[in-house]
Parts: sequence; structure tokens; C-alpha cells
Amino acid sequence: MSRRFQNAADSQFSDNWDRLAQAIREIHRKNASILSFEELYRNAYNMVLHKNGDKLYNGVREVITQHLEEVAKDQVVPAFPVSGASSSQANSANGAGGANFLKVLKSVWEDHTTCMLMIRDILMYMDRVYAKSANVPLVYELGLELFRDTIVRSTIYPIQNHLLDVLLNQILLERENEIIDRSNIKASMDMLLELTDTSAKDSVYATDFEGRFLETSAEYYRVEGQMLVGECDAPEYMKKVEKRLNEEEQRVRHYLSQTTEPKIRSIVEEELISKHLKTVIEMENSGLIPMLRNEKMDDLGRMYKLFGRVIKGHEEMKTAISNYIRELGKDINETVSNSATTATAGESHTTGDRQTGTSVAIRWVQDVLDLKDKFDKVQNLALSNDKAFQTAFNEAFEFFINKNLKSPEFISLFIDDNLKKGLKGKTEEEVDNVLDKTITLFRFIGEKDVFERYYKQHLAKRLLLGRSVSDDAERGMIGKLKIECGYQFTTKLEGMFNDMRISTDTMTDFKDYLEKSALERPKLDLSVTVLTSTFWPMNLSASPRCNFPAEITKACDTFQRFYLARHSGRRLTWQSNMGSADIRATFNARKHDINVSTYQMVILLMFNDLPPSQSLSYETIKGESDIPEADLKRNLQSLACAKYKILVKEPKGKEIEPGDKFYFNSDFTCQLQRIKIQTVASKVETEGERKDTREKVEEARKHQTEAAIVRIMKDRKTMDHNLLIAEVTKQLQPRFVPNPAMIKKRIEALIEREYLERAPGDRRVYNYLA
Amino acid sequence: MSKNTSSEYVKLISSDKFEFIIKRDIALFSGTIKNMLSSPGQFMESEQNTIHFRDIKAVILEKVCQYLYYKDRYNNSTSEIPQFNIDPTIALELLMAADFLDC
Repeated sequence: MSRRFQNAADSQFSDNWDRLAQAIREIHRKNASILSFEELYRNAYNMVLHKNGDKLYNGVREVITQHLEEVAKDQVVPAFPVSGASSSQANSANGAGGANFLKVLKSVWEDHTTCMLMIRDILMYMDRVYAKSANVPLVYELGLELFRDTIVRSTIYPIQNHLLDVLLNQILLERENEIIDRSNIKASMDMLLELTDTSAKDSVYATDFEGRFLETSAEYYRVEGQMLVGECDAPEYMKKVEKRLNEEEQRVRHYLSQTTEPKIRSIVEEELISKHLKTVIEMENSGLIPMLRNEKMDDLGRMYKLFGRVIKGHEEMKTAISNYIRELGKDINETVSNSATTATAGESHTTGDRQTGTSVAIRWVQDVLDLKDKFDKVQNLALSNDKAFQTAFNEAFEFFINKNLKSPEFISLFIDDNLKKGLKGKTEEEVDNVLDKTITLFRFIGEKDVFERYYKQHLAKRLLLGRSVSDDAERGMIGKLKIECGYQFTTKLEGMFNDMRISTDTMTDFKDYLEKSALERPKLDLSVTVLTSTFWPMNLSASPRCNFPAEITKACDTFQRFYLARHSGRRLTWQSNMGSADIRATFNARKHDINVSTYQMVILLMFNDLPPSQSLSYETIKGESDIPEADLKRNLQSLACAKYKILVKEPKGKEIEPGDKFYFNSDFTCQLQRIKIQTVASKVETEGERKDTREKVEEARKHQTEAAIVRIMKDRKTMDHNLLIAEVTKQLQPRFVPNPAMIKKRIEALIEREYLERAPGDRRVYNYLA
Repeated sequence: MSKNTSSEYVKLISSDKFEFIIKRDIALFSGTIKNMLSSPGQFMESEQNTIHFRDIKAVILEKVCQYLYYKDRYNNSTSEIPQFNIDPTIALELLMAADFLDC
């Protein structure tokens, strides 16, 4: 009885199944309209209900497979492109054949998917109930798998090879600027993306196509890279690379999968950029250095963007630019040493040497500023103010600026020159601008304390000789220095300003005092500037001697009495090497007002009581005035051997020798009513003076280092040697960079003076001794 | 594309030739019916907007239609939902029909 039942069920099943199989075939033949959905759905439903789900499933699989095999044979294979000479050649005939193949494949795929959707719909019950429990893929997925295995990865026909070849060929054609049908390719890619590879759990696109695509692309671009580097100059090369990068990005967007984008991009970057970084940078006549030289901002900007894509790109650029800056810096430094040698080789006249010295200094600073401007422009326009590059630039500048040992002096001289005459006529903005630029240079100096010393000297001269163009500019400069270096740096400078101001007030009071008092007025107009000794960079112990004529001495005493009455407990010392005097001199032709230094005034006054024909000898002048020899010679030179010859020297000549005689030059004539005798304000130091300054700087540094050590040790009580050195260096850095060996010596000195001791257990540790 | 796909009503015919005409969107609450009517292929049903259910009796089909209206009325509703009454004698066949129709 059960067997009969079973047979009946079986026959019903085979009936149902036949009908379904036929229906599926009709669907494949696009004849669905003659079918009743409900009937087919019901058939499937019944089959699953009667536990024949597996038979149904397998049957469906067979029918579809069969159909696909037919399709492969009848439609796909005949559409194979006829392979030309070599399938990798960009052959247009091949291209057309390939495009056709893709079209066929596309239509086959679309038909299949549509049919599968319909089949899925009628077999929905099976999907819902059977497939899930039997753990088999749903019908639609089954369809995809079958398509994948029967057509794309067909073991019978070389469909996959052809497909991949055609796709890669099409891409190759497009890279060679041929037009291809993108929609075809997109359809194929979409198909590959929808098909999954079960073992890799990724799309067939990823497993079968992408790998080969990346391989062939890498090869293509490797060759391209080498070819372009040989043919193009740097800007052209970069433009072409940019173009290629854009192309590939477009390509991915239009018909490849987005996942490929980063991969292909990194391949192009690798082959076209990374591998040729140095070559492009170093290309003669068109590489990085010529671009900088000719300020080709566009090209530089492009290079920055392109090279930014690869890891080493910016590194290489930075190194190249940094080296270039150092080169240029070295050249600038060398113009200094060259003109120094020519100056010493030429005349050794002190004034001449100093004149060229100053102009060399100023030119050096101007050259460096120009260089900085140039690279600031590059930074701004081409490098989008990249901080890493800025750091590299700064390091390079620091390097060559500090290579020039005279740089602190030069920079101070530059500022000196500007504050004396350069800023005349400039607006407040322009003034600020120039000062700001100088500050940026100042930042690069390692030995800021050396700069401070020079600045003080120059400032002193400016203030005392009244050479400053604008008080505001001076204060502006000090303000900026205060911001850079802090309060300590500028206290003394401000002190100097204060002295000047107070002196003017004092002079006003002095004048009043003279008016009111019954004292005999001095015969001359005396103007005194009182300087607080600690602020001003003079060497006071070496206060130069000078014998003043009687009237002058009397005037000075009057002032001294006046001053000391107001301020008790102070001592005044007259600095005769710094003053100036206005003299009204009567010559044969007319009277002139001459502005001379104090020394020169003393010398000239000696001629007052002398008959015109009589001369004074060098020794006489020296004896009476008691002026130091070097100064005396210099001042006599300015009076007798320079442009305005107030005195006549015998014998004639530029050098002052013992035994010379001097006459008052009554025949002196000049267009101007007022004349100024240039006293040689010292400019660039001679070697001797430099050594002197250096020694003073070293002395000061020793003290500062010791002060820092004591301060730190007092705070920490105990510290390890290396840590101490690091801490001290950090504290002193704003002023100068200390030498570890020097610090060690100072520590030893402090140990000797019992400020510190070595820790009894550990020789490397120090303790503070209260 | 057939012009019938935009008609408002569909006809459901039971095995005993009873015809039930209901609104299309309500009919779509049944998964199976939805597939039949919106399948990409042009099956007979979608062409004529008519579905023959050869295995479902009128009594059952009627109940199904009632349910579909019920679902449409109270789906996503916040008011109190009345119980849907099912006569126990038809419960089993109704269950199978529901399974068949996926609703």
C-alpha cells in the first residue's frame, strides 16, 4: 500500500517537475507570457511540501546549467575576438572585435539575470522553506554561481582568458588615447563584481580581474615612466604625470570598482613618481634648482603636490632645497671673505678698510634678506606654507648665517645704518617692515649675546652723536627685541634712552640755573649728557685723559657743581673721546662753523693764540693736550689730511709721523657755511678689536653659565651630570649655545669654590651646598 | 510593458470559481501575489491582473482578503487593534493558504 502511494507521489512529482522544467526553458526563451505564475508557484510549493525540495533544487540546477552551456557554445564562443598578431598590441581591429565580444557577453548576462529573477520569484517558496534549512544558496545566488562556473570560468571554453584579455586590451587602448565604449566595459565589470568567489569571499572581479589589472598597469607605467623621463624636461614630465593620475581616477570612477582606486593610484604614484624623484629634481636646466632660480612658482607648486603623494617625495625636495640654500648662503659668505682679502691686500688705511667693511656688512645682510624674501615667496606661492619645509629652510639659514662668524656684528651694523640714514623718508609701515625682517634674521643667530654687545656699542654711538634718524624707529626696534628675547636683553638699552632724556631735562634746568645765578656765564655754550655707567658700553677705567683749555675746564666745573648739588653720592667722569664741539672759525675768506670732535676742538684751540705763520709740532700738540696717541693721530688726520683741510701738514702726506708740523690753514675755502669734520666713527672692527670683544663675551658667558648652574642646583638640590648639562643648555639657549666642555669646567670651578660638591656615592651626581 | 500594470484592482479567483476583486496595493501585502504581479517577466498574471488559485477554496480566499484589508487598516496604527477572528473549522486550511501566499 505504501509503495503504491509512493509511486503515485513520484509520478505526480515527475509530472510537476516536467512542467516546471519546461516552464524554465520557456522563460529562457523569453516566452514567459504564456505561463501561469500561480501554477508554477503552486507546483514548486507542492513539491517542497511533499519533501521533494532537494529533488526540485537539483533539477533546477541541472536545467539552468544545461541552458548556460548552450548559451556558451552558441553565443559566447562565436563572439570570441579574432586574435591578431599579439593580443597585447593595441590593435584597433582587435579593439573592435573585443568590443563586440563584450557586447555579446553583456547581453548574455542581462538575459540570465532577468531569467533568474523570474525563476526566483516562482521558486520563492522553495527559497523560503527548503534552501534555508538545507543550507544551500538561494536560487538567485545559485544562478550566479552557475553562470560563473559555466561561462566566466568555463572549463570547456577559454572564455575567461578572452574576457580578461579583451578588458585589459580595451584599457590599454584607452591609455593610448583611443576612444572605447565604456558602457560595455562597465557592464562586464558590474557582472564580475556581482559574481562571488566562494573560497575567497570576494567578488570574481577582485580574484580574477583586479590582480591582473594591477600587474599589467604596473608594467605599463614602469615603461611609461622610463620613457617620459628620457624625453621630457621636469615641468613637462610632471604635467604628464598629473594627466595620467587624473586619467586613472576617471577610469575607476567610470567603469571600475571604487575599491581599485587606491590600489591603482599607488601604482601610478610608485612607478611615475617614487622611482624618479631624484631624477626629476636633479634634471639639468629644468629641475628643482633651476625652478627656484627662475621662480617658476607654478611648476614648484605642481611638484610639491605631486611629490606629496609619495612618502619620500617631500623629504627629497626638502633636502634638495636645503642644500641649495646652503650653497647660496655659502656664496654670500664668500663675497665677504673675498672683499675682506681685497681690502687688506689694498690700502691698509684704517678709514678705507672700515668703509669697505661697513658696505660689505650691509651688503651681506641685504643679500641674506633678499634670499629670505625669495624663499618666503616660494614658500607662500608654491609650497602652501608647509611647516615642515619652513623648518628645513630655517635650519639651512641658521646653518650658513652662523658659519659667518661676523654675522651678529653685520646685522647690528645693518640696523645701525638703517637707523642712521636708511629709513629717512620711509613711511611708518615701511620702517616696521624693514625692522621686522631684520628681526627674523636675528632669530637665526646662535650667539645672541655677541649681537647684544655690538648693538649696544652702535646704539651708544648713535645716541651720543645724534645720528639717529627717528626716535620712534629706535624704540620700535627695542620693542621688537624685547618681544624676542625678553626683558633682560633690553633693560640696558632702555636705560641708555632714559639717560638721554634725563640729560635733556638736566640741561634745561642747568640753563635756568645759569640765568638765575649770579655766576659768571661761561664763554661757551655747554651741553652735557650724563650717562649711567652700567648701561653704557664704555670702558670707564680707561677714561681718556685730556687737558682742556682753561675756559672749558671752568665751564665743566660749573656744571659739575650744579649736578652734584642735585644728586649726592654720585661721581662724574668726563669722557673726552665721545664729545663734539661747534667752532666758529675765522678764515681769510670768511667765517665757517665747524663741527668737530672734542679732541679736535682741543687741538684747534691751541692755534688760537698763535700767529698764523707759526706752526705747532706734533710733539707739542701731544704734550699739551695729553690725548692718547692713536686718537691723536686719527684726529689730526681728519683735520689735516681729509677732505676739509683746516690745518696744513708739513710734510704733506696721509700718515701722521712724529716731527710733523701743523699750520692753521687761513686760506681754507669751502662752499658751505657749516662744515662737519668726519670723525672716524668706528664701523667694522679691526681684528684686534674683534678679539677684544670676543674675550669680553667669553667672560660674560662664564659668569652667566655659573649663575645658571647655581640657580638650577639651588632649585633641585641634587642632579645628575648629563641632566645638569641639558638643563643649563636649555636655560642659556636664548642667548647663546654653550659648549658642554665649558659647562663642565664651570662646574669644576664651582666645586672648588664650594658651591657644589660631588655626591659621595656617585661621581656623576652633584649636590648643592647651601 | 503592458498597460494593465497600473490598474487599481486585481481579481483573485478561487478554485471553485469565485471571483474576489480587491485593490492592487492591498493585494500586495501577500508576498506571493506581489511577486506574481511585479515579476520582471511577463507572466500571464501580470498581463491580465488576474490570479487563479486552483488550490484555495472560496471560503479560505475570502478570509484571506479580509485579512489583507485588516492588515492595511491597522498596519502602523496607534489606535486599539481589534482581534482578527478565525473560525476554527477553516483554521488549518487557512494556515496552509497563508503559508502558500506568504502573508
